[in-house]
Amino acid sequence: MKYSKTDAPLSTRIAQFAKRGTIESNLKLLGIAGLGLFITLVASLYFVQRGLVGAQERLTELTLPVQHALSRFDAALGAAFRRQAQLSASEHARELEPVRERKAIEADLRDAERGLREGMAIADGELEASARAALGDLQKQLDAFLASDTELLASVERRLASKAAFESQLGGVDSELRALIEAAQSIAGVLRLDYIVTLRRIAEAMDKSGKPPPGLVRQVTVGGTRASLDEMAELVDGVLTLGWLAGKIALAPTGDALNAVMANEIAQNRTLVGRLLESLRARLEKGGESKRLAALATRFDALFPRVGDEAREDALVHLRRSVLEETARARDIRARAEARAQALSGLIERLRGDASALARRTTNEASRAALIARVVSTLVSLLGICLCAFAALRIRASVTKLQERNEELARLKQDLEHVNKNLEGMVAERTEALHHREQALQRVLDSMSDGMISIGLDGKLLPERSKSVVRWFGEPAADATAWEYLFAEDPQGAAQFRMGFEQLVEDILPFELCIDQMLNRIVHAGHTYDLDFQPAREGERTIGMVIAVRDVTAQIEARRAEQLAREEQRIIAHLLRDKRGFGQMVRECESLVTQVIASDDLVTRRRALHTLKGNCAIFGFITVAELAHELENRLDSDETLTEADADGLARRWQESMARTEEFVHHAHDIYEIGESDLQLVLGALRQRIDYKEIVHLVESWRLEPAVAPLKRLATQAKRLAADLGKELEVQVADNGVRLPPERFQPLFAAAVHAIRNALDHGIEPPDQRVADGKPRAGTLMLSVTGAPPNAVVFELADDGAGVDFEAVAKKARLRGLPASTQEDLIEALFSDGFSTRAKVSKTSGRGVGMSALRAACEALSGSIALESTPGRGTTVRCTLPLIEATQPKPSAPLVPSGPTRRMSLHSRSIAPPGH
Amino acid sequence: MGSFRTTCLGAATILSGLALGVSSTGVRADADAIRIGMTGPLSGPSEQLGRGVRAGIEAYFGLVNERGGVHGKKLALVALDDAYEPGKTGPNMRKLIDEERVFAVLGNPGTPTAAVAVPIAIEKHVPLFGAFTGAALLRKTPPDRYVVNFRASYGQETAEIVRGLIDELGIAPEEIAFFTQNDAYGDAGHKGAVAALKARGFAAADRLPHGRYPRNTVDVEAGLSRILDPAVHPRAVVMVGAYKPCAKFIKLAKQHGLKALFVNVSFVLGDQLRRELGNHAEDVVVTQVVPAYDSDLPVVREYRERVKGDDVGFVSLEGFIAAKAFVAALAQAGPGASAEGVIDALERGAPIDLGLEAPARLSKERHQLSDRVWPTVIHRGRFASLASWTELKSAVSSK
Repeated sequence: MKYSKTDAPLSTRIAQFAKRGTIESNLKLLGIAGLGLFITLVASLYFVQRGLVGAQERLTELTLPVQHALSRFDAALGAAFRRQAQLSASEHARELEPVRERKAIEADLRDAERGLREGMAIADGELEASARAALGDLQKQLDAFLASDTELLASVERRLASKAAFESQLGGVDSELRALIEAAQSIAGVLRLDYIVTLRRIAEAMDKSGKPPPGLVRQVTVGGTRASLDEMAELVDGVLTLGWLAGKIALAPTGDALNAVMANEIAQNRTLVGRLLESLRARLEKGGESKRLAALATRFDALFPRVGDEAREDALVHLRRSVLEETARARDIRARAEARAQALSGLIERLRGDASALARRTTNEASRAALIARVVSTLVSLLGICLCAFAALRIRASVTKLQERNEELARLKQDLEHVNKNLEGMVAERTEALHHREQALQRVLDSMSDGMISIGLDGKLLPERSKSVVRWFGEPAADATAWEYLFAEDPQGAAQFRMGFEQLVEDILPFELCIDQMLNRIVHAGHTYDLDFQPAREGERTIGMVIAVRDVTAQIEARRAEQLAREEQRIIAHLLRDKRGFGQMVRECESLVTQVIASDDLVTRRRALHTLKGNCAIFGFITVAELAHELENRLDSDETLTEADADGLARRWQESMARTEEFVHHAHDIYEIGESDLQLVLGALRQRIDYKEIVHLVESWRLEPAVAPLKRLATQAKRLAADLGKELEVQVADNGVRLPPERFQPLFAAAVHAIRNALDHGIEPPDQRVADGKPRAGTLMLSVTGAPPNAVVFELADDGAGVDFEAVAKKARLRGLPASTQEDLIEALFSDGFSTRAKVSKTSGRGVGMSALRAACEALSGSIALESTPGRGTTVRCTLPLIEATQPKPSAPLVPSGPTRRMSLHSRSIAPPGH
Repeated sequence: MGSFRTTCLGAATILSGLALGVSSTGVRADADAIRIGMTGPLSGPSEQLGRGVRAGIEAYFGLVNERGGVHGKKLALVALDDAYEPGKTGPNMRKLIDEERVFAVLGNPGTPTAAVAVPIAIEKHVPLFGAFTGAALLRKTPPDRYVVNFRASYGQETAEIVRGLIDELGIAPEEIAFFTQNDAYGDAGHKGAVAALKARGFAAADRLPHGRYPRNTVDVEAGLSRILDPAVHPRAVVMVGAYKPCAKFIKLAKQHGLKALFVNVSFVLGDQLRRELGNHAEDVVVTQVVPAYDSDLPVVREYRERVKGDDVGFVSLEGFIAAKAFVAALAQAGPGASAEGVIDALERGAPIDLGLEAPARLSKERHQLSDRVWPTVIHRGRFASLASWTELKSAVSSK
């Protein structure tokens, strides 16, 4: 497949890919549809509600007030009727008091009537004509009822007044009668005493003389005394009878009974008493009691009209008659009122019927409204379900699209790989070109004539020499030796050449051996020449030597170019494998170079140089690594770097960069998305979780999965192991943690030192491991683990020999460090420039590694710890505060579904603030 | 009342600056005093009755208060006037109990008024003590808890009269006649006498001559005519009535030649009767429920020391002794006792020494302190105690 699948450049396609937001737009659409549905639902509910409320209001405003007013009216009427009953049953003004006040009842009735009228007025349109007529009738009947009520009260009051007057009069009459009787009896007593005394005298006279005294006997028998006594007794009876008649009047049930009493008994009594009084007055005219009798007569005359004089208003008979009349009148009034009350009750019943009919109608309307409400609700619900189905389909389509996009992404990735492969192709082509150039150069060389000189056994130049040599080295001086001629600028080389030549001439050692020991390369005037020696023999005897001089300057240049190309190739290979790591390495190296150049601090310089060496070696910047090693050596021996050294390093770095810049440029702005990440997003979308959280999830892709730097380190570890002739298995565990790459890059760079240490000092050679009963291959475990709530732990663990603490103690004492405890020793291990290795190797031994790792750790505000078990291995653990790193919570997979449909993606996605 | 007290206090304050001992005049109401109520006729025709009782009670209370009161508490009498009208007695009783907060009601005179007072006292749980009446309605069996009497009943008086007439004077039962007020009072006396006669085997006691007169009148003639009937010959007339009609009866009877012993019960009010009879008073007998005031009994001596002048009489003596009985009951009940406590103490039956012949004992079945009846006779215008009815022999006409 070719690099450009479409016409658009790859970058444009990527940009377009990023712009497309299918899910987002679908969600928006879904939101709008949902909102529309919601508004529809609310609106329909509102209208239905209004219908229901309308029916309810009609029920409340029309029917209920009418029914309420009817009930009130009924109750008030009942109360008024009861009151009337109580009123007419009243026998005493005291009983009248509580019922006299009828304003409340009247007000109740009127209010109820008004309420009814108002209620009916509101409900007018709903009522039938008969109801309106009934209402009119109601008022008329009510007025009549109330009028009769007033009349009844007046009548009862009159009756009670008459009754009270009657009773008062009766009391007076009664006491007067008693007084009359007492007076009459008193007179009778006197008459009787008189009579008895006379009898007593007769008895006494008879006791004395045995004869009755004629005068006294005549007085008793024919005198008026006995007759007066009898009449007196009769008079007392008459007065008593009047009292009895007064009682009869009081109890007379009807006017007729009253008339009968008046016409017969009262009249008789009057006559009788009058006659008796007259007779007694005549008899007692001369006696001592005549005055008392006269008084008695006067009192009787005064008393009688109080009982029986119809003309007198205060007479008992008159008052009783009034009471009876009023009772009859009240009965009539009550009968009328009752008729009206019944009429009112009838009207109320009729109105109640109307109101009930209205209520039924209204209730039916309400039922209809409720039915409509149900239908509308059902419709809206169905619509909602349809919309949901539609939305589900849309989202499914979106997911499908997402999958398509994912495939497209995969294709893009492939394309990118093709681009990269093309780059490799370019490199291969370039290498090919170099080869051709070499061949061409070879041809040039071949075509060039070699220089040639011949010398005698004394080393003096013989005349036979090629022009080329003269051109290169100039005309030789007379009697000049070969070493004087060829090594004019290099006395040391001249001496060495001479020594070799003399050894050759002595002819003790075989010629070939001597030839090998001859200095065979000359650098002269910027050119490099190779020398080839051929003996000049005459028969068996060596008479001299022919030296072929070949200009190999171009050849060497070509070889160096080839080396650079190879380096470039290696760099590109690294770049392709781990672009992000490469980019970070480049940035870090730049800063290291700056540190080496600019820093005054020897320790910093050395550490920077060491780290630079390591990084460059890993990523294939061999030339830079070699120079760094060279400078490091120099720094170790004379502990200084010249300006030239620094400039050289900078130049070498810039040259390397210039060669790779083209590729490095591409390494930025590319994010790696694993299958698991994709599945996570897809899962989130399928479950339709919060859009924001999806954004978070995708944003988290900016973070680098910790597995990337760990794999980088693993690669480096394997290479180093190969360099050291050790077998190694590297295990990597990132536990799903993503880390901000920029921030953690220095840590992983410095970790290379710790790996180096582990491989150099920890992991034993394979044979020794087998002897110790361990697997041939050592194991290095690299892991990043979340340490909730806000830290990560980066751990390097090997199963090697462990730290040789005795050696550490020895070295520490030598360096004057405290070495009494295990902690001291571990501290010493982490100190600058500490190494137990006697020999400095390319891999380790400079004592920079562990201190560099600790410095990186502390730069991230973290801490470092070391655990070592002799024979079992060493673990270095960096605990780093989690400012930007993220890790999943243990066992926090995406929630498949749940009541809230919300799931916590924060545990897994996690764009730190500011990203 | 309040303003009165304020004025008194003000006056006391001013006076106390001038002279000491002003407050001992007794004008100031003693808030701590035990208040005792009384309602009776303090005005009208019967005012002598009410005033007499009041004078007796106050005399004894004065005596007690001078000695420091009962259990350190002074006694105060609150007397209200009901003019002998039962219609006023009820409100007075309620006023005494509800407003005056009296501890007990003491010495109410009258039977018709007692008919109103007794139910109120029972209803309010306030003791009605020593009422001036011998009526049976205060002497139920068993007695009402809140009614405690001092004096003997009318029945007991007439029974004593019958005993004296028949057993001591030797008058035959058929020689006894009755003159009574035509009401419950008269009936009570008559019944007591009839019962006593029947007890002596005289079955015809109901048919003995019996004259009656209407209450509040002096219309005695009709009644007298019964007793003067030539068919009967009474040697003694037992009279249960008021002093005016009784006096008229005695005078008329004597005028018409009736020679009989007139015997009255205590309620006739002997002193008034004596005055009313004038020179017809000689040999008229009046039984008393208190000793005559010339008696040597200790309580009478106390009475004579405390009561002088117009107040002296049987009525005030009865009030005095009733007050004494009440104070004794109060003292027995102990300090701070309630009205219930006083009744309980009385019913426990501890002897109460009233300074009469023998100490009295009460119980749940007995609420009357004295059964004693003292016969007295008017002799030369004075009441004289009768040691024995036989002293009257000379006054009784021979057959």
